[in-house]
Amino acid sequence: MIPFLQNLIDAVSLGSIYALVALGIGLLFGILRLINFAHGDFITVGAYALIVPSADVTARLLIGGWPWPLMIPTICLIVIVAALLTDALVFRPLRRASSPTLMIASFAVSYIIQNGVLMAYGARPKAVDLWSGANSQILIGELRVPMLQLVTLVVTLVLMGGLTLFLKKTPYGIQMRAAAEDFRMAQYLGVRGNLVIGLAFAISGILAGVVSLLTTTQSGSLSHMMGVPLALFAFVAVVVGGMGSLVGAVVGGFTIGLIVTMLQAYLPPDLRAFRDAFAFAFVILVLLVRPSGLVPARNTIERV
Amino acid sequence: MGTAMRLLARHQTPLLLILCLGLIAGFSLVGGDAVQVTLTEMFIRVVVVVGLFVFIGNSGIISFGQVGFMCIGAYAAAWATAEPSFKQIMLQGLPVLLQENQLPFWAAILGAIVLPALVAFGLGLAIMRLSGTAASIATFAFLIIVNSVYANWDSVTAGVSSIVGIPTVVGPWTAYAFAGLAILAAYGFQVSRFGLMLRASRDDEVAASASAVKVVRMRLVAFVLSAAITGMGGGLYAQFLGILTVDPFYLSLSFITIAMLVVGGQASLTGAVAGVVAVTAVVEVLRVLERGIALGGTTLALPAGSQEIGLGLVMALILIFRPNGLSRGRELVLPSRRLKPAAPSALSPQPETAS
Amino acid sequence: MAPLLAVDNIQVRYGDLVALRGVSLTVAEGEVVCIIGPNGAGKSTTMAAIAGGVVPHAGDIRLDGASIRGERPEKIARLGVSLVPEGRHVFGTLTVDENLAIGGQLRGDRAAARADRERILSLLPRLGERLHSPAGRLSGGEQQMLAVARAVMTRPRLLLVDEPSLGLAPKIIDQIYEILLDLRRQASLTLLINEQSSTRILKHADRISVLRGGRIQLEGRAADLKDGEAIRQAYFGFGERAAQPAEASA
Repeated sequence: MIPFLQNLIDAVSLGSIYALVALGIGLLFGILRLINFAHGDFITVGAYALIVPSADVTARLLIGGWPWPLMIPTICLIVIVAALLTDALVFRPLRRASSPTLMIASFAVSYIIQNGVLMAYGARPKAVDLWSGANSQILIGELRVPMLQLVTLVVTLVLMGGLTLFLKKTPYGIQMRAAAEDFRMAQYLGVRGNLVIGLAFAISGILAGVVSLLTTTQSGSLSHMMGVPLALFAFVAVVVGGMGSLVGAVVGGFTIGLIVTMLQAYLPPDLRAFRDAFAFAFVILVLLVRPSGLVPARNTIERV
Repeated sequence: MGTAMRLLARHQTPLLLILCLGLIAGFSLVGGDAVQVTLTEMFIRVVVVVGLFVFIGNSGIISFGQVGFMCIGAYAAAWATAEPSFKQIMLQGLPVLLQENQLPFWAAILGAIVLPALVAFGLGLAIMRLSGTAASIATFAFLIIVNSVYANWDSVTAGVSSIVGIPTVVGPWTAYAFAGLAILAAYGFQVSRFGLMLRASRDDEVAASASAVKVVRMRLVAFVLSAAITGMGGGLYAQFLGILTVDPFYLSLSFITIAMLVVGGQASLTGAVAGVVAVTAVVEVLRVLERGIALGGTTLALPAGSQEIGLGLVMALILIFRPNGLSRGRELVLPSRRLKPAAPSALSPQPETAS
Repeated sequence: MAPLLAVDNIQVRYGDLVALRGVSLTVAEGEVVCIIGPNGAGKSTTMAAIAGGVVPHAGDIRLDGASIRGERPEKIARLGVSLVPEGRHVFGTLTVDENLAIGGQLRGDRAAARADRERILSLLPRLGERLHSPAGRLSGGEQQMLAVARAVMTRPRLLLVDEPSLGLAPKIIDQIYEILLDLRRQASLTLLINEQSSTRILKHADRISVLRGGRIQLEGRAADLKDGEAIRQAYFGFGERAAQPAEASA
């Protein structure tokens, strides 16, 4: 029983990360119908902002060395700026473009960011130590829970709660929901399109910034491709949960976290390496059986 | 004689493209080793991107997974032509027939065409009825699956280590010949009943999102043909490089090939070919600049990685300013008032709407 | 005095499809003007052009003498033009209250917006009862009322109403028109209304334009056109203009 619960906690922790990333992707899809392949690279940008730019293997912490009440908002701010820049430079000129064009454009942005980081910081993964207390374990009953996993869960719940409050109670939040449902109609009522989209990118940036801190603390290393696996699985989560539905993104994130952890723990050893293949085969299955996902957004049925 | 001329004029596009590529191939006669390599790689990319075009250009659905078929084709060729001594030690999961024999080039290419086509048929049966966006996501998933399977199925693919000792029989002229073949095959599909009907449904949103049986069937044909051609490119690639790993067949190459198609213009065969040539040229220039030019006493060089960023920027600029690509969706024809080509100009102007 | 709205020979294309071939009309402040025409004549396109949803490639649109052609829809809304589109387009996943709030959010004066909201809800008590229901659950007639209320919350000077009676029972349609005219009186609103059927609107309109095949075929004061014969001819294309083939448009 204990090992199973241990796995469950791992699954929830992993699912939290995927849920946060999936939220960032889902938010942009809801408002802009954009599948942002570059979201994982926003996470990479946040992580690399922690260190002094150089090609050394052991990185020296720059912002990463600041006290965390200053570090966290600064990193988030940097990622927000990166996200808004990509909107202003690439996606705003493509506002009226078709869905496939937007997809390819975000693919291009992803490629540019990855190679930009590569150029500035070199190809070798860097070791970073953000928080040495992260792996100290807390005893809950008979379960050992690493501190970081608890923090991850708490942070995720706080962010999701904050986002829900924002969307439901604030005027800008209501405008964003209206724009996500019927962008043109919202414009006819005076909702500023670019403002709402900018907000979506900014929130997406905050989520990416937080995830970059959590994953860097967890893995202790940086590489220019570090955002890719996260984005891939979060992408799966969004599709499985339901594109265009934020609740679906969260549900999808935790579902994928569960599936990946359980596959890792319970697949026979010789099949374990094919975990990714199974996960993506699951995506195709979901697309075939229920293309609007587990928790479809009511207005998304025609989209996918 | 008159009919022959008229026929030639109607179908001048593939001939003109093959002619232009032939002129470029001529450089291999005068250039050194580096030129040979660049040209061979370029012609192989023509095969791959033409393969991409057969599906993306005609159906309007972006497929991120064609590089997966290239991977399947490459390994199929490797399984055929690698040395038995290697296969019997490293690839013991292969059927005994393959392990013990070293098959000729033609068998390898045939395998590189047929195996991806079979996989595409199976996959296509499942996903071609999905709407455009869903199908694109499914092809993306396919790319990841192929990469994951081939990277881990050690007994058959040597996993993350390489298959070595593949006979490197593919040079610029072989690659050029196959590029011509690919162009002819793509053109044949394009002007066939299937191709015309598929393009008609592409521009009609209602038809494009419907799972009408006819549309699904035509998409499937395009998908399988596309996989066959792309797989053929993979087979050429394996027999050009001599060494094969899974790494190249992933996101980077997917991006580059799609970039080539978009830059050239995804709605026309000319676009596919032009895109490969143009992007290869740009990348070569950037590569030279990265190595540095001697000026006066110093060397001016772009930082390493400029090639990739340059390509990404070019791609973004084309998408913003010239979304139809260099070819604007038109096919290459000789200027003439009397002779009308068969391949139609693809796109109508976009409606103006306020943003 | 310059009319509130002047549409000057606008032409609109969707790709190769010509939707409007040169449409002109004016609306003076306080008037009720009606555009009638068969399905596909270009009525919705005309309103979309005025509200900023499509950009005419020729011609001009002037509000208070200043050109608004090519401006973003949100800017035109802030200049005082509000659209109640065909098919209502309420935000189904938002509540009735939130729908109204969207209408009110562009107002600078919060107190005035709140006062307007109270006034509208008193005019439309049914909406008041369903304030916290998702708008998607309302009936067709209620959604139409919500769409009108929401547009009025922006305190427009010109209200564009696209086919308000489509798909609604006659009793409901009467109610909608009553509300529109009530609001017009109370809030000094100018109304431009699209309709397919002419009988009801003849009672209420000041002026009528008949649109067919992307062109205005007839224009005049409602009082002068009372007998309906001229309208019928222009609408169905009898007489010399019958030679024009009717063209489909969005």
